[in-house]
This record gives sequence, structure tokens and C-alpha cells, in this order.
Amino acid sequence: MKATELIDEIGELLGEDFTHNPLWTKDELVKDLIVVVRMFGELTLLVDRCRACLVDYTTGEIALPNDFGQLFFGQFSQEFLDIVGLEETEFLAEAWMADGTGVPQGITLWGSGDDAKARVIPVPTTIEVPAGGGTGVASVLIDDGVDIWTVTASEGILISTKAGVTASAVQVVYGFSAYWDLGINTSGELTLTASSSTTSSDLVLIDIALDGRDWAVSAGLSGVLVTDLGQWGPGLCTGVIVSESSVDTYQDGNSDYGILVDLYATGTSTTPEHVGKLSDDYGMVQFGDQYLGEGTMWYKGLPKEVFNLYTELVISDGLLPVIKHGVIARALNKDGDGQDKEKSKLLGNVFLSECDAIRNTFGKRW
Amino acid sequence: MLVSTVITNIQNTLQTTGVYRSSAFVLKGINEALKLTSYLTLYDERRSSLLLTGTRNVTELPADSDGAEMIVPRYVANSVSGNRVNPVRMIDFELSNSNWEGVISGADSEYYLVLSPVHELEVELMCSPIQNIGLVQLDVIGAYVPVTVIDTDDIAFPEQYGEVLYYYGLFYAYVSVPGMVQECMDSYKDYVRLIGLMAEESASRFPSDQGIKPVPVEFDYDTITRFDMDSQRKDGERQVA
Repeated sequence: MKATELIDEIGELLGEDFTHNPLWTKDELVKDLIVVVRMFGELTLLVDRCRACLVDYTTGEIALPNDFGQLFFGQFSQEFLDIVGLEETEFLAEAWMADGTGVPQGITLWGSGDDAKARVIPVPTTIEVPAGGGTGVASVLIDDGVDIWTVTASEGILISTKAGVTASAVQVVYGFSAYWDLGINTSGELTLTASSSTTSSDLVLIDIALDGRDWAVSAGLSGVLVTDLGQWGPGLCTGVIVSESSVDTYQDGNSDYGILVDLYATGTSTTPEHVGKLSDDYGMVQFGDQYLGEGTMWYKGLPKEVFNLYTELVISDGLLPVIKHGVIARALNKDGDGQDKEKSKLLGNVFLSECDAIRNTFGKRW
Repeated sequence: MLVSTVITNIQNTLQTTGVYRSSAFVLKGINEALKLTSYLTLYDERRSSLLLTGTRNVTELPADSDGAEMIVPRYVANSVSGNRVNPVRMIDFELSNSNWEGVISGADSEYYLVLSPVHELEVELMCSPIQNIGLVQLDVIGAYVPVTVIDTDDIAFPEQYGEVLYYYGLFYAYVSVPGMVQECMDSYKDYVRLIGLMAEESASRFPSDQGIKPVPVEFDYDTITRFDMDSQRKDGERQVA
């Protein structure tokens, strides 16, 4: 269900049709929905995630993903690490202090929000770092108007930028049983056309926002571009990816991702950028084959972020009433003619009680 | 149980079939009740089977033929040997090295773990160990979220708990009216009381204390007490002033 459909249902319960002199606008309710979905994730702990991560070889730090809630397991070089409190580290051994090096024995968390980090301690001495060469590179394409475009990625979003560099040969990407020529039009939009080639190469783009993480670009079943999160470790050099074409080696819970959902233009007239937003992956991306020197985080995450009215809610129909109760509670608490504090308190308690029951029921999993 | 009968009962209590009491509106409340109750009591159990490939130990949970999505398995067994596959906690699952996939020749799966039961696209079943063979079939009895019903449907809901839908339907209607907090709370408390019984009955069928069992909703909110507390606080503020 899309956020807008849920907002319409909530509007019906509030007696709000969002037309003339609305007491609540859809934008207001979307903001409430964003908050309630996050609260729901924190209160129920229903969402599990697994992610392979780069361990910084100078600090032992791992940048935690945006949907990070709480660390459940931490692994380094295929081995489990004890989760320890920051204050415990200096008492255990000198080598465990921030700048000590050795074989990692524990993992600790610090920071919050977007700056939250995990730190393996001691800092590993034998860490594997992604090789400088052979990793993700910017792909260079030429459009029909002979302008040159550089294609990079940022948090899974493909970005095409006009650049004064030499064009490369046509990139052929593989998608299921077909080969596709990757091209670009004069607006900077990426295109796929059926290729006459019967060979392809991995297109791996380095991420300019997420610590240089790599994204492998391939083609989906119907010729839409797909980005897959690359995997840190020695295998990175050859563009090892989690994707449909390698399910025997790597695993994912993919059902529907990589679909081009939005295109918009940014930048200035002299350096235009056209950004294609691709939908995120669903399900647990599980990195079954871990590398030496690689960190793996098993953590309690959050439901898929709600961005706007058109975001697809990755929450079961059976749980949407809980979300609805939370949103109505917040809506009724706002100053204005629609304010009903008593009912707001009641529904707030309904929301919390339901979240409690769900957490207690499914808490058997951990 | 006919959905139309539940709709009529709710409308009779509300004593109107107006805009926010129309059959279509009340039906939405009943559908919400059916789906929410499925998560809170795991009442909608159905039998299914799934295939585990010999090289992957995770699989998606199956949907039923009518489109209902499975939330969690409640009983899992090997289809060939009949041996039960037991639920374990995440913390008990051996994920200690690169062989966590647990490919072991000649050994059936003994344990399973459910991950992210938040949506059909997220939820996964992870088993260990797994045989390094083509496919392993597992029989599963799982709890489902039912699909949306219409007023002419005859639904598979326990008759003795039919009032669950009635009380949630009333709650749904009272939410839509400004004020009526007391009625809203009373109907929700009746709903919670009944699904508590449903949850206990559902849990009692799996007495081994393994696996996922529904835990009753604890809802002890009281608008009167709350009101009094607010009044006292205001009195105190006045005295301070």
C-alpha cells in the first residue's frame, strides 16, 4: 500500500477530505506517518537486517547504515565478536583501548543518528582494504548529441553528470537471459537497448556518498537498470555482487527492487545533473560468503523509510491498523479545531499496547 | 460467519446507517479487525509447504492460493522423514564462521529461525543445517494474514469469538466521531479482552514453550483516571500560581 492510500483512510476516520479548509493536510499526516513508522520499528523490533561493512583500518570503525536500530551480532573475519560497553574496553586490556591494535575481540557502539559507528577493538592489524585499482569506477557514456557523461552512484542512486572526458566503448550489461547496451540520451537519462553482443562485463560504480561503497549495475528482467550493493573485501576488486545472476553463491531476499521510480534534474545550467532514483532492496540481503578482514553487522533495523505520499509502505496489512492508530493519535493532539486530546491519549495508548504485544509475541526470535 | 451479519449487528448498535456508519465504512473496520487480530492472536492457521534449495538456507514464506501472506510458521517438519524442524532464537543460531550456511551432507534441517516478520517481502525463514542436495521439501503450518473480505463472504473466523469483529467495528466507528472517548475505550477494551482469550487458546496448542506464541495485549488505560490526574495537575498548577 502506498502512503497516500493509508493517509486517505486516516483522513476518512478524521472526517477530513483534504479539499476545502482542511483541518489536517496530507503533508502534515505524512510527517506523522514518518515518525510513527520509525517508532513502530523501535517499539516492535520486528525488522532484522544483515550488512557487510568496511572496517576502517586506521580506526577499526564501521559506519552504520541509516536504518540501524541496535546491534544484535557483530562479526569480523567470519568470527563473532562480543559486544562490549565503551567504558569496559580500557579495563580489559591496554590493547583494547581506542588506538590499540591486535586481533579484534570485541565490538562497541558509539555516536548516534547518521554518525553512529561500530568499532572493532583492538584495531585489526591484518585488515583487508579494498584495492585502489579495479574497484568501482565512473562509467563514461556518449549521448546522441556527442556530449560526454560520467555515470556514478550515490547511495544506490545513479547520477549522470556532463564531463569533459573521453568516452569509453559501449558498456554491455547482462540482465537475466538478455544483453543490453547501456546508453544515455541528451537529457542525461540512462537507457538500455537490446544488444547484439553476447558478452558483458560487470559495471561497478563507486559510491560517492557511502564511504566509497560499490554498486554493481545490471539490467532487470524488463530492461530496467538495477543497482546492487557491492560487497566489501578482497572480492570487491572483481565486482562481486549480490544479484539474481549469482544466487548460488550469494543470497538475497529480493522480490522487487531496482525499479526506476523517479527522475529529476538537479545542478546548474553549466553542470547539469540528472538523477535517477531506484527503489531500494527488500528483505534481508545476506552475505553468505564472508571475507577475511570484512565486518558483518546483524542488527535490528527500521521499516523502509517513508519519504513522501508515493512511498510504498513495506508493512503488512495486518500491522497497518497499528500505524493508523499512532498517526491518528498524533493528528488529534495538534492545536486547531480538530484537536481532541482525550481521544489522542486513548489512541496513543492503543498504539503503545499493540506495539508491546507484537514485540512480546515475536520477541521469541531473539 | 457471514460478514453482512456482523455489519448489521454493528449498525444496529450504532443505530444509524449514515455516512460514517454505511455498510462500506463498517466493512473497512471489519477488515481491519480481521487483519490486526491475525497478528495479535495468530488465529488464521493454514497448511502449506516450501522448498529449500540445497545451497541456500533461506527462503521466503509461501502465500496461500487466495493471496493470504504467511506471517510466521508455527510448525515445520521435513516432508520425507517427518522429522520436526525446531524453532530457535537468533542468539542460538550458529553463525560463527563462513560456513554458517551449514551445508552438511546427510543431515536434515534441525532448526529454523524467522527473520523480519514485518511484510511478505521482508520475512524469511532460515534453516540449519541443510543438505547439499537439490531441494528439501518442508511441510509448514503457518499463521497468515487473511485477504480483504466483502459483505457476502462467509469467513473462517472462530464462531465463539465472533464478537471480536463486532467490538473492533464499534471502536472503528467511534474513532471517526469527535468526542465519544468513553465509548471508544469501552469497545476497544472489549475487543482486547476477547483477543486475549483467543491468544491464550492459540498459545495453549503449542505447550512446549518453543516457537512464536501470541501474547495478549495489555491495555489498562482508563479515561476517568486519566481525566482525574489531569484535573489534579491543573489544581496543583493553580495553587502554585
